[in-house]
Amino acid sequence: MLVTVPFKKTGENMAPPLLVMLILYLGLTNLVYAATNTSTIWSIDYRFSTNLHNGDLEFSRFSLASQTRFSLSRNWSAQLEARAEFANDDVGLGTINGYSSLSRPLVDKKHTRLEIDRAFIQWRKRAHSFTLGKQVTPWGVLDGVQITDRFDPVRRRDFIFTDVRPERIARWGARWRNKIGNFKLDTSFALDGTITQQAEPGTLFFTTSTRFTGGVDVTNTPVNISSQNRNNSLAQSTFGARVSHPLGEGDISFLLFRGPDTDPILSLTTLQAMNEQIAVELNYQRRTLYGATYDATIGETVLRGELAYIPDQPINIIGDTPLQSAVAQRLLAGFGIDWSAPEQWFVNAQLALDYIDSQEFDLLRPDTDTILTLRAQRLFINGRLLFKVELLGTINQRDGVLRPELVYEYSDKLKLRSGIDWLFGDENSQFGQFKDNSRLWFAATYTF
Amino acid sequence: MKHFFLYINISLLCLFSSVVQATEPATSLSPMEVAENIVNRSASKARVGYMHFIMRNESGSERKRSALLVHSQEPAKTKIGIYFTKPAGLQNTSFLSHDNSNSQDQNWLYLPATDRVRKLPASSRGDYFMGTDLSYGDIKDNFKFALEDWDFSLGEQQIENGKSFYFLQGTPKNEGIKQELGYASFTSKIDPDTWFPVNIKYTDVYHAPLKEITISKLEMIAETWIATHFSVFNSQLSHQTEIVLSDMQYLPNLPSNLLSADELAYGAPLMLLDEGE
Repeated sequence: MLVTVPFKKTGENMAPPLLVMLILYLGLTNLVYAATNTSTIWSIDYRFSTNLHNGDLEFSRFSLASQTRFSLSRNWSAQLEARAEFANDDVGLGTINGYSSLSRPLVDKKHTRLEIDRAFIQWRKRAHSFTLGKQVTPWGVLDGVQITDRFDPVRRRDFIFTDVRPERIARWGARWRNKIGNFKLDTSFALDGTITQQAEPGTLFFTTSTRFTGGVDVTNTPVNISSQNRNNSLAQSTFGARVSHPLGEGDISFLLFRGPDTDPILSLTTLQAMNEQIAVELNYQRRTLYGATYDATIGETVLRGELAYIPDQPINIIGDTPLQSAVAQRLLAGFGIDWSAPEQWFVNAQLALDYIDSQEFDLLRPDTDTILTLRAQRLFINGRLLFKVELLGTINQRDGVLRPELVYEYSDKLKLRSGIDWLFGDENSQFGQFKDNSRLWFAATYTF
Repeated sequence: MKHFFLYINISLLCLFSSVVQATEPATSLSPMEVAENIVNRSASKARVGYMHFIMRNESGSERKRSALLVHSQEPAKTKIGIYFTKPAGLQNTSFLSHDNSNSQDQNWLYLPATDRVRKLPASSRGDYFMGTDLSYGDIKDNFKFALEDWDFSLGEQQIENGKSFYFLQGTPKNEGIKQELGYASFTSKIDPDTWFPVNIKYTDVYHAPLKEITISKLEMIAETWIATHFSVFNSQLSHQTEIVLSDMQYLPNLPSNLLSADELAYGAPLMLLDEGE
């Protein structure tokens, strides 16, 4: 791997984080005194994996997380979530140069990180609520397949191998939800330029597939990657609204939002001599998404559908010079079904289409990707043991991952988990690029 | 002396009457009338309280769950909200069901880790409820036997401490209902004072003994009998679930939007406990 990330000076941006920390500290102190009811959940988690091909220990991460809910009055509540992580492995803790100053980890060392995951105060009265602080906006109805669910940045340091998919990154902002008759209106404004977290260069899940690197072969070319400064809060903000209404046996919603794309385009920072390391900048340009969702219960099945149209999708294209980009129309559609099957099996199947209009230029990716997800799970031993198997893949690329998993509830507090992530496909495809990282993993989580 | 014999006669008459009254119900009602009395048992419009589950396996190891239970009964809709409070790993997980007599049943689940309220497929009535020995059907039926599901018969009466109990027996009306419920028959000892079962024994679809529900304690809340302590023993798995309801209160003014899917994400509505009667 010939990729480096330039050292980013953070000292000049220290004032805003310190101010946030001070406000948080004072706010927390006030909340503790004001709260009529406070509940805290602690969670200690250790997980590791060994490579299926060579048996090497490649992943080892220890996490300590807390979630505190403050019930301040009948109408006011607050929530504070934090996590500390320790890792000295080949996966790493992910990049943070895409974080705004306000959202940066409070502690950021080579192998240690302390982050505020959520910090918000909420007012509620009847069907109205207003939330102010660091929060997420989880729109969409499908399971892990992101059609309209693109408001929040997500973590990609573990590729898609997270407990919850996608693993959202909260941003500072405001959200207002209300209900008028049968209409539900949800408005969200993230005044925070933080974008999707990538795996650090050189780590196991750093993207090398040329469809994501602007066509640059980063495994064989010296590349120096930097990110846009993410401190221009207003220009890098995300705002949107969603309206929902019951329809038949289900609910339909229409949504619209504008903000930085979740995936970057790569561009050359300056003109460079042939023999120099290529200096590349990751740009997260803003785009607008118009979407619709529908989900309905029909007997022992739930049907879900999503549609999204992005008229100004920024993409890298194949051109005369490296790392050219353009703006194209993009259409995404997804359909899913949940089935409560016989013998207490639960089955989930989803099919998604991702189309980019390529009439005017050559794309680095296929113009249409067809993505399939299949999951079956069942509880055994009176709910103590969960068996789950999942297949995720891109049909047109013939790549994917098979993920069998066992979760055993040893006690009310201790949960043990183990599984296999077996990746397959071409080395330059979405899943196939990581096929050498197929792994057997274990996790133990103690919650109290 | 004349009055003395009169008192004796009246006392004997009263005693005889009470004995006749005690034994009378088991012989005077038809099986369908007994089942109707159980189904028509009064139910409070809305109630709230804590629900504690203790699940024990054959080796004696225990798992415990606690949840805030909000139950609302409307003319054509039963709404049940379950907000887990313990253990910590389940805290803030919420489950909501709407059982509609005129339209599709709806279930939702809120998992804090996903930040999203998710619509769930309506479970089969025979599926087990969250690792307990109760089926979804048991939870929804609330110790009643739906008249449209069962053919009823009465067993021999039983008199205990001078009180007579009905023995109601049921078999599913057809093969489809049998498979859906997961039961081939039931036998239940019924207390005619409360029209509540004292116990219910079920056989599985192959007629093998499956489980026994024993109701240990009833409490009168807002003129409605509620089972506040009962246990379920699954003899095929040697697994037992004990359920205790505490702080149960009648809620005369349940906010209309509270048991809706959007509200699940806001967590357990603990303030209701201060508003009940």
